[in-house]
Amino acid sequence: MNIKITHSWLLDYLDTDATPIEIQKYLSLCGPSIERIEEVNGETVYDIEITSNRIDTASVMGIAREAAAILPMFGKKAILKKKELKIPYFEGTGVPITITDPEGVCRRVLGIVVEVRGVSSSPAYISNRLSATDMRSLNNIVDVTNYVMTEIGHPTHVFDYDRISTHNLILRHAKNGEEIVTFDDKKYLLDDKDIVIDDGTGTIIDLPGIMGTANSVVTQDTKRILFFIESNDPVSIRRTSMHYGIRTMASTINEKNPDPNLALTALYRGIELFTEVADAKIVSPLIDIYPKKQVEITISTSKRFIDAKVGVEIPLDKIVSILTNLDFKVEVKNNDLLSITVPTHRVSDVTIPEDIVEEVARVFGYFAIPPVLQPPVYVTQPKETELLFLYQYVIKLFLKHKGYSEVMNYSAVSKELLSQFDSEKTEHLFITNSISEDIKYLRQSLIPSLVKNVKQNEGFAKEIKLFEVAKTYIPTNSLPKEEFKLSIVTTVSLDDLKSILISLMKELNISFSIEGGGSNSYLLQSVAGTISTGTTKYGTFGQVKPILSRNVGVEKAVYVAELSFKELMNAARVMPGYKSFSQYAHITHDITIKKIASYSELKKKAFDISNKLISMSPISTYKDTITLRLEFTDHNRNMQESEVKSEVKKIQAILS
Amino acid sequence: MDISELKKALLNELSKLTTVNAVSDFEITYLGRNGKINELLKGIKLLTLEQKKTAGKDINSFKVFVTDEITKMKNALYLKEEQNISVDITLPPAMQEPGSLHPITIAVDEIARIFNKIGFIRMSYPEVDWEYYAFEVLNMPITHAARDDFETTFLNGKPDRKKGKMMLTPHTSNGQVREMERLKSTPPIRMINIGKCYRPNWDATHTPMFHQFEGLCVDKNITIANLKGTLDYFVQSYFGESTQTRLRPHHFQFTEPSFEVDITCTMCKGTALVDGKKCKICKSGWLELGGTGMVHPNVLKAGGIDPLIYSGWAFGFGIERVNMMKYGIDDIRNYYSGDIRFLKIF
Repeated sequence: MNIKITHSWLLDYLDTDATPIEIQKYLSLCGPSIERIEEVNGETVYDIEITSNRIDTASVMGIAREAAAILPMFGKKAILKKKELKIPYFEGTGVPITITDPEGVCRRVLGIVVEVRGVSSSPAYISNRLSATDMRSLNNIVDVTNYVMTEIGHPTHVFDYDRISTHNLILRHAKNGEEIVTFDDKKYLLDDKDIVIDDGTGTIIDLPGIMGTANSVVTQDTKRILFFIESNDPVSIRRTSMHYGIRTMASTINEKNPDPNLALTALYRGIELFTEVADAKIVSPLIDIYPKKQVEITISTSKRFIDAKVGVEIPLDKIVSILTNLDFKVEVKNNDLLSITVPTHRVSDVTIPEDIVEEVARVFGYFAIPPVLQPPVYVTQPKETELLFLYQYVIKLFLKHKGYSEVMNYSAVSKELLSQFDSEKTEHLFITNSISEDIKYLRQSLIPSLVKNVKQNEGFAKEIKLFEVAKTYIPTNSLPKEEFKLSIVTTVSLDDLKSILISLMKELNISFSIEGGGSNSYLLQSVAGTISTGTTKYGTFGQVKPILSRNVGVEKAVYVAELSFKELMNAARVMPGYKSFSQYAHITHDITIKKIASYSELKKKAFDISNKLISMSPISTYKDTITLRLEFTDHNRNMQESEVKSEVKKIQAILS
Repeated sequence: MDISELKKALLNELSKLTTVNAVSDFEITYLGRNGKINELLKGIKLLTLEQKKTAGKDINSFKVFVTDEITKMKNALYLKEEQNISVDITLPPAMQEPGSLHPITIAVDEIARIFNKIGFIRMSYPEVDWEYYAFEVLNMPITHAARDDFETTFLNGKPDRKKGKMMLTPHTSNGQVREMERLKSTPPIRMINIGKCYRPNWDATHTPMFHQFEGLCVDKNITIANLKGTLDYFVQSYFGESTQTRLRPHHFQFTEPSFEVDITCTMCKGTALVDGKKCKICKSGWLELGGTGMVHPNVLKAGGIDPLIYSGWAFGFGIERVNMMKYGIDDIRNYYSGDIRFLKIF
């Protein structure tokens, strides 16, 4: 969260000679980040990021306290002006008011009834400071609650005392289905995890710590107010405000556990301001329900521990002065052991010795710690991981050099795309709170996205050649199987795709074969093939069924391949298997035969029957015949013509 | 035999030739097996002993003359041919359309190599994971407000009774305790985990999917000074030697202390000024790189590591962000749009 405070407001709590620019620079280095300085209506305004652990700094007072500890480290004067706050002593029983918390839903509840002179506008300095810090000035009464929140750091609330006719407030859990109308006139149905204030008749008059309700807030006619401050259970506040989406500054602070002791400071400061702006007169005793007081805690650590975590020695007196300036109390033993008392406004954040390290190191200055690389050590990387990254890069680079462009698509696709690919019935993992229907179902194939990429780019390139390496997510009983796929798409031709695949397998030194058909339902069965080595299948390729690509709006033929990355990387070798080349003559012989089987099958048969055959390639086909070029050699001597003839005869016989 | 006549005749004939090929053919008529030189030599046997002596000498000197003249002539013609060659060397040849790598791939490779040099192994952990690894073990119980900082993308997968809901990881930090578990809770750990992350934000500066690289170092005596040393090393390797870093206090549940890292702006070199005007990239001389800190003892404990013996640091930075800072690729929506006009740039 961010808060805004003005420089002049800060000076109410801080005596300093530092300029706003210096304050921004030094605080950002050692404490809260001041992201911006703005000039608004003649006021210098700091826009400050407050991290969720430092709700104690979300106020003028909190920033002043940080500044008082940090600025002196840079040679700047900075003294915290501590205000003496007290309220007039009230005698007698006063007007009737009862506040009870029978279920113990709050950590502390404070209430006091105050008579006010009437509702009017705030003095200029208050409305100026509020508007400079992005808060709307409404009237003198409500403005005080916001002013106190920004100045002290604890949310406060005012009820119109006379509108609560029972003068009775009971804090309790809501009932399922109970209805409230907040003061901005929005209706909510509550459940039994929410906390509300009941006026004793069953009517809800507040959603404490989050927002007031329309039936109890101050109006133009308010004469008496109940000034009410409660320390809520942060978990409950967060749950309720997230659940109904009621995000107010009060709820944002309350869910971060502000110090209950600060509630009394806020109450005193509020009374002081009501007196100033509305001639306030206290008309009831102070009610303070505080069964379990927030106490200071003690952390034991040592200078040696701090030095060991920081990596540089910080003098003991510096450690002590830094902590003391931050309101910690420090006892030193044996020049090393530290017993540190944490003030109540820091106990929710500072709980372990590492937290003390942070306090000391940040104010000492992270910039003052020298950079030192840790000594190198050897850690084993799983072979599989090493190969995964090695071959990802090898393959990507290879495809790039072959003219293909790498694309990265979202890991999820729309239901529409799945149904265009006839896959909407396959069980997919899906995002239950997706921000867009376009990215909802986790991919099990990269092909649909790639065909969509073809459509998208139709106007931008004559031919599309893309590839993607990404995970697919196959549902199981537990976490999905995350499998890397390599998928390639081209609109050029089937041969273009085939030549890429074949040269890729060569690049990876995998010996493989191609068979017709395959298990890919996206492919036209008559133009589909499978690449494999023995029983290891790397994947399939072919032409996308025209009906599917037309569903996405692509009229021309689309050719795709989808390969299992794991199988590729397991089979890949950096060096091909070595066989010495033959010193003897290579003899070439062409044959023309009737094509009785697929080329792959012919080739396999030929190589199986002849051990002198070293290569075979198709020369041409004509009607049902094919002309093949065969190449023979013998590794030990030159082959006789008759030997070649007998090899050719064997091959012709087996291929007919 | 009148050598000078022969020479004159030779020069006369040679001077008529205009191509190297013609000279080569001409060469054969003199120096070939049945050429004029051999004919002259054959004629020697008809001469007297006295004549033989001078004739041999004359023929040899003539042969040298012929060879020299032919070579001279050839060289002159070669030179002329070379002088006649004329191309426009700037004319582009017919070419295969070049392919491209995704800018994330380029950055990932560069980053992994930089960390590899100081002994960090690259790992890969699930993108779909349990709340347990994404939050619980990172010191963020379910009720913690800090979870707001990581808006979460949940999946319909069946929740695990112990590990909570199934989700797409909002950061790569789910790899921290997973790496501790892989190493059987036994440091040293030196890991770079690079992966896709998911958060439900989609606007000019956010895409619902993005990439992070996560550094994790756990060992005995690991200090803030070590973290600073590593950040300086990385930043200087990646962004350039003169780049400086600074740490600012911040808060993350899984580190204590926690920092935000800034680096000096790559555009204005930390001066906040470009040509005397305020730098438009950084405004202050510094650019925010990301979050880091010393591993929280509760995270070490969740990974079975004793925080009294070991300590460590961790960071998680966005790859799209470092690409923006280093290369000025500022519209991150292009990354995952599949637009070939963007992809072809790289």
